[in-house]
Amino acid sequence: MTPANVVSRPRVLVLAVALLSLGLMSALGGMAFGLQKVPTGAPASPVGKAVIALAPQTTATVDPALASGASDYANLEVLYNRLLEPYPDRSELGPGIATKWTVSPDGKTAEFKIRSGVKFHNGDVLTAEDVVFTYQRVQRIGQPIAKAPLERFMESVEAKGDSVIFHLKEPDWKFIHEFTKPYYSIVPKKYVERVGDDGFLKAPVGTGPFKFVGWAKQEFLEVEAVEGEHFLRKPGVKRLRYVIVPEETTRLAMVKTGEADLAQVSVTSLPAVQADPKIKLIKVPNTGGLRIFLFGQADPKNPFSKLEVRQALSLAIDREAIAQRIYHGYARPIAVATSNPVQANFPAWGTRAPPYDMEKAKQLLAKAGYPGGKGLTFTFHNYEYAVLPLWTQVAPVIASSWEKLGIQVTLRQWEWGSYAPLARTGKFDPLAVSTHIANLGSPWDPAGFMTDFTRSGTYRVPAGIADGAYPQLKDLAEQYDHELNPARRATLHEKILAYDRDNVIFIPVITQDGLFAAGPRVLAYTPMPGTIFTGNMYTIKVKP
Amino acid sequence: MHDYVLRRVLQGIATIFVVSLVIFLMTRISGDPTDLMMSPYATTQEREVFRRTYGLDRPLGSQYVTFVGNAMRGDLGKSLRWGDPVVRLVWERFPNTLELALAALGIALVVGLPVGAFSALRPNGVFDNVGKIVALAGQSIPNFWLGIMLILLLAVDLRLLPTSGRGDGLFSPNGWKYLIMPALTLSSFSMAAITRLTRSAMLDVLDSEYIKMVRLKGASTTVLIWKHALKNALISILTVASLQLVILLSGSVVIESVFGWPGMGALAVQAVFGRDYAVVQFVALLSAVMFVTVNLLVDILYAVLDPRIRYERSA
Repeated sequence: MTPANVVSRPRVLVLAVALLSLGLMSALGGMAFGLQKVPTGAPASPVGKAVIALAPQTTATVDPALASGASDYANLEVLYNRLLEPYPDRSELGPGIATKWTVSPDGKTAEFKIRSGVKFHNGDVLTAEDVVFTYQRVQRIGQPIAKAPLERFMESVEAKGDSVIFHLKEPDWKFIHEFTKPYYSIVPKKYVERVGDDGFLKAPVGTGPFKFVGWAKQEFLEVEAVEGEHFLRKPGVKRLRYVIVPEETTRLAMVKTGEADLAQVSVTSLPAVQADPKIKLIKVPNTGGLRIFLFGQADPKNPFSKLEVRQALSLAIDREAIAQRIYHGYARPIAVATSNPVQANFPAWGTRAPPYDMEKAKQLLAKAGYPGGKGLTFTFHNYEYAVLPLWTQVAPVIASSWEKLGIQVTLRQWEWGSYAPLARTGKFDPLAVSTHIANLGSPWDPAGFMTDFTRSGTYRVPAGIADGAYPQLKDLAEQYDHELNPARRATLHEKILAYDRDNVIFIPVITQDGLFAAGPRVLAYTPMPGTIFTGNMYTIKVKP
Repeated sequence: MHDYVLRRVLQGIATIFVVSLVIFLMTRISGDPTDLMMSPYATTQEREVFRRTYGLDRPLGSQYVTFVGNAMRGDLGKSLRWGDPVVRLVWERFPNTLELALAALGIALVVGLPVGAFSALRPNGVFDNVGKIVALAGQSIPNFWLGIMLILLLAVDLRLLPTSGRGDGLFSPNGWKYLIMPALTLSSFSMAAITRLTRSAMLDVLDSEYIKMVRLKGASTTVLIWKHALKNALISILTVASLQLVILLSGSVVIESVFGWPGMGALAVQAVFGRDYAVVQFVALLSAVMFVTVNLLVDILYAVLDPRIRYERSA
């Protein structure tokens, strides 16, 4: 972005040669990008300035209470901390502002011990009072999405010495997941009371690895690494600047010119990236999962109530071809509809995806009473989602495969905003299937999708898929939701996944990767897997 | 004259009311923002809280009456996404859009006027034909494509200009560099329109008796064009140019997205995708008000300059 990056033409040639040489050296030296790769040659203390070009969906506010979802994550994660924080290498949330936490045997009281010695960027020492104030402030000015979990789970919150006590309405371990979302990043009580909410938005203060420098809504955010060691995160650069650029081609051009070091891109930019040896791709694993809903499984007259029909539809999908030809290898077939996207630590996750087997699919259809697909007609609802645009290309491929079985399929493409209310209420055609895109599962609530399913009526899990068809699954989900012991919960999760796999309640298709284009200055970046939104930006390291 | 102005003002107000109703209904018909704003995990009860908070649970008619009543008091609502009053939200960005639109109009006039004028001097000559082709291209090339091509050429290949953003503002040392490509791209259609209009207006003027007299008196081409012909052709050109400014102000949506220009157009795009009703309504209404106002001023100006207009219209 800086004018210094705009260079004259002769300098371009010199720069190009130099960068090409660097690229070759890097390649020869095995410089690696991506998850679990250890950066080489990265400086020990934060140096340099990294500029990251992001899509507008990624950053919206710098005040946690005004945040409205994971889209604010990139801003909030660098400026603030939460009671508990995500750790890329574990499937449970780990210590953040709280060092330890306990839940009472009846599951109605939770105590969080507050870390001592944590200071806000303005020098104020963080206390339990700040934590209580943070939650009460969200209740006062928060967006409805942030207020909702508090209304659902929280009776009251109080400070007691160096602890914060939450009194809960009912025992449900998911409150931990909900109460540690970015909206509840801890803010300093005294400072907010002094400057007011508007003042705080102009000059926010947190405890994160970076302190605020400047922000303009949907334009840029600039932050600077805190001095000394941060108690939790190690900033990779001295300065970090996000710039919001809606057009993907422009974001990539910024990396090519050196105006940005890192940019969100998609598979559609692959040819342009691959044509430039100076640019490298960083893969963000499992940013979204594609599954297919089959409506009306509880109705014995509905063809989808028959296991053979569901199995046939699943076997007719060539997942590997979709992953390779549409996603150019940045996707993989999946065996189950939901799982932990961070770690492959559940047996069902390792199970091989259903093979592409048209012959067997035809046999199963015949066995179910639909030889040659005769008499089987349904509508396939698919929707467009701006963040993950390739979905619209996948649905016709799947519909075409089903037609090869002799089934008459009517494909309907929806715009996301129009699809969502339909999906939530299940008001589709009497005989319908629908694609569904979402994170594969939350790392901290990997079976959440399936347990939501048993309740249905959220747009994650539309009404009318299989309400009442699988009482055993409902029992498992009830146990899972109320099981406070993580190990026992993991076991229940395995059982839930196995049940889904064996009954083909949902048809799993693929998990896809997100992509960043990295310029030649980038030494390392460890992206946050398992979500379509950006994260772990503090890990970026660049050449000084 | 007073009756004519009063009638036109009332027509303008009625137009704005109709537009406000159309905009209000269109934004509602396109879908409910609740599903886009709430967590996928949100329960029915939580969604109801959201709908109640923003008055989405009320009948459409009641929502519209509230909208108009509040708008009369200057309250155009709050953004669902950012929670800010939309007037403040849009107003923060309006100067950036105005800066871009004025620069684009400036380019369109600086290029369009002389090219159109010289084309008219020798109709169907080489210069005229080239001018016509360029004008046709300017009106037919999609500006998002032109913008991306300019980025690839001027920023990526030649490294002459920054790719996107607004830098530290127009008056910073390199601020003008950020303005060139978006302004040039945005101006392409207006430039072509002004070129064609200037050419045709000049052809009319050059064919008039007084110009023939000027020629007979042996005036130079420069004097003929700049002193006599263009001056008289300017009235219709400037009328169109003022309307072009409004078109540029409300038409910068795509260009702002391509160049990451922090204007109200880019804000409107995000608002449309997020079903941020209040923002969409205000941006659309603002555009409508600008159109109606400029049209009104132009009509009044015409009536002042040419009495035949007000008599014809009142007849």
